[in-house]
Amino acid sequence: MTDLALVPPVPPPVPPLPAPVLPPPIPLQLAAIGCFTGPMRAFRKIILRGALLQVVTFGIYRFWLTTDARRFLWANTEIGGDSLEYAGTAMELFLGFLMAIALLVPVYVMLFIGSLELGVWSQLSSIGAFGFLAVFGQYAYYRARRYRLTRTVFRGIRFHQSGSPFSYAVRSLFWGAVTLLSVGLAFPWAQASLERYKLAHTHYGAWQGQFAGSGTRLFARGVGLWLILILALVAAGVVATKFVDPNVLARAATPAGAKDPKLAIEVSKIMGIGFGVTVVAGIVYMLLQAIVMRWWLAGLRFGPLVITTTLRKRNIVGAYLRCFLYALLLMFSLSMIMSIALGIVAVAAKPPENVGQVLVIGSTMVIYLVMAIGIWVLYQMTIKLRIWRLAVDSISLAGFEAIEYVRADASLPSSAVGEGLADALGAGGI
Amino acid sequence: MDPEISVPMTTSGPAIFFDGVTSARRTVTVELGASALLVRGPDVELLAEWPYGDLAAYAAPDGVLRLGRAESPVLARLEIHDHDLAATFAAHAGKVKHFGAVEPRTRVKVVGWSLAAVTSALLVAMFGVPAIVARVTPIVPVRVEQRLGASVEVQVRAMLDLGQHDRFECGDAKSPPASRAAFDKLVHRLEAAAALPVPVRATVVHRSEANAIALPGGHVYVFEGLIDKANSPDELAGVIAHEMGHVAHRDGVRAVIEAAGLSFLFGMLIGDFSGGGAAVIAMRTLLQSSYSRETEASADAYGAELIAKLERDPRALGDILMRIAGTPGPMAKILLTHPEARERADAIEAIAHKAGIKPAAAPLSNRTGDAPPAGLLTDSEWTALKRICQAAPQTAPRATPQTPRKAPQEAPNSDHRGALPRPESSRR
Repeated sequence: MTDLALVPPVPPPVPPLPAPVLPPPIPLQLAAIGCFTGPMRAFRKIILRGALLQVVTFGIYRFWLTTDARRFLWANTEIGGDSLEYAGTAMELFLGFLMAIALLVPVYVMLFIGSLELGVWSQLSSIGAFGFLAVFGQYAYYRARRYRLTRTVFRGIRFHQSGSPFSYAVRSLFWGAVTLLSVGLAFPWAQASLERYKLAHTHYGAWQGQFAGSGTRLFARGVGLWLILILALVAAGVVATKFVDPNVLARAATPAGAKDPKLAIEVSKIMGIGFGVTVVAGIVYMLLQAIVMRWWLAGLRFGPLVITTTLRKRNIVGAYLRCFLYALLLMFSLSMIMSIALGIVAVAAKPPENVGQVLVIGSTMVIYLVMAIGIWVLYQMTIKLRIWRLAVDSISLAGFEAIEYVRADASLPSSAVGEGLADALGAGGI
Repeated sequence: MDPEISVPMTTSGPAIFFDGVTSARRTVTVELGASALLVRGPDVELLAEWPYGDLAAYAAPDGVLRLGRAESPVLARLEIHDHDLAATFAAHAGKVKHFGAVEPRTRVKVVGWSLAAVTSALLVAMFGVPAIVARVTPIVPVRVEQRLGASVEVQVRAMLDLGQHDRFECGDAKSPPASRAAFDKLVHRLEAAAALPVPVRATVVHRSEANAIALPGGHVYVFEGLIDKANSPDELAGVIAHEMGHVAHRDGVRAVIEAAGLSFLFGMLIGDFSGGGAAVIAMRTLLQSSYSRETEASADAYGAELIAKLERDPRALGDILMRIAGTPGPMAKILLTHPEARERADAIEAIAHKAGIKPAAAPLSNRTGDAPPAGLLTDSEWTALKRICQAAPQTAPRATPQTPRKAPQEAPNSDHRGALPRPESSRR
């Protein structure tokens, strides 16, 4: 979602000025609001059809699906009464993918050869692979963002991105390391720094973007969540040392220990603790997403435009919860249907044991496939689309009257090769 | 919008125009001329004249026709919100191409060619990869194979060694020298008859499964469980000869090249869509087990011929395979890394028959530890060998487990080949 570095809004409280009565140019508005006009149904059709075709084509359809979805999202994102236009094509994405393959194949082969070597070389090659993927992942992400921006047109003017992907990758890795070393405490400043870099290199015609969000402010809003997570982990550790008998677990590797009835009890204790930590982490994650999203939207600036947002935390959390509940429901009903169907077959047809085994394995595979597709579709519908929509609907843009005078940048840089590396490395997304 | 203009054959109407130079929005009048579309400003001045042939429709919300000039670097846009005007425009301009829209025809093409590509990749995986591997494997230098073996060995030991014994190997200084000598004698007799590209290093290790594995570079691990289960030197020799088949065919190197080829073929093509990773793993597993079954069958053949060369009965290998392996279920069959024991025993029988070796006189079930005279080992050597894993000669013999215990860890995988199916898969 942070990809969409283009939502310029102003708060709704400012009432739009009455349009001038004079026929000549341009109705004047001092403030404008964002508005998402797309019907859910249309998006669901795109996503469902895309999911099925992806299965049939073993994933190759993804370039066309992504293009379809973006055309829909962009076209239905209205800012101050005019909608965005996505001007990219699936063929560009596909070409980029082919380029990425061409670039990655030699690297892949080299790493493979390296991994066959002994000792130092083999280890160097795995470190090399990790480092390469880390740098290139960020590099590719920045390139992909540039592609999306150059393919975004608003009122006859396109966005673009300057800056060096390599420099961004270095920053991103640096901040990633700092975040890791600080156990997450540096995350707000890392985000702020990276967003500042991205926005300062984002342009709408002659306007330059700017990110006004402050890391310290994000820290103040999020540090509570950090404490909760740390406390939960510490509590889990304490509970585990107090109530779980490590000797039973240590013996599990031995044949006698594996049969110990106490083992099941100890394992279920650990699973219980794990479940608790996961629930806390899940809640913290959802709240963090909401906080970061609000902070990010409210920090966006374009030329004289100042963006404010009325986004509610509970709406974002609601989107995640809804996705989670639907997924549970899907899993539950699917297993029910499958068990009932198998039960009927077992009772009615009494298949021999062989056939029965095949049926069970087959239906497990069906459940897996349907779940994988189903959860992906749910995620796109209940999280991706909904959060996009909430974000667009929540923004207002102060100083919007200035939009009338933005000039196109004469030297229009644009890439004709899609998101290549990013797609191949999985950073594509919508 | 404007009710007065909604006469069916409107040839002009209101629209919104962006000239692509600034972001200014202008309310304009569109006139549909004979061959071009005219955009006029409030003073009827001509702002743009676009020939119909140049036009393209761009992504827009429902109910809006967004036009521009295709191929133009200036992104001037004209938005027609009036339904009737849009309809009239369509009548005047004929078919306008929709830039970037995914047409149904395109979708059919994408699906068709993707299926063709995947089919072709599958065919390459089934026929091309084995053909390439068969040609590349023999030219890999032995030195490379040994180096590969050394790095595989570290991982395999880490997986197999459960740390329940002081030492993972049996048959070292602490065990009876006679046992070690008998084991070495057996291995050397086999090795002398075989022509192997690399010297074999055979080791007995503490593992309760009845199995043996060969690593790249000629290292063979014989599991303690196999020695416990073997009823005669011929049976044990058969399994070791099978492993030597893997060494002779350089199957370890082969497996590494195969795995790399397959993950390359499918990993690159199939991206990360939901379930894509699983599809890749499933395909690799199926194909690798099919490669593996062929490899095992030819190692069986090699082993049987090697035993026949020593003028012993290769059927002993079939016997021990039958005794140890269970019957797999129908679904498990395509996942098995080894052929079914029955098939293997039949194939071995055919080789023994061809070599003119008569089946041993004693019925299988009655065979005891006694080997026929002039066997690979004497009785006393065989007895000593059976005790190879006992810490000291005076210790009472360990109770032998009747069934292989299930290994807590995933044991050997494709990098090193066992003679026998793993207990996990054979128990299906």
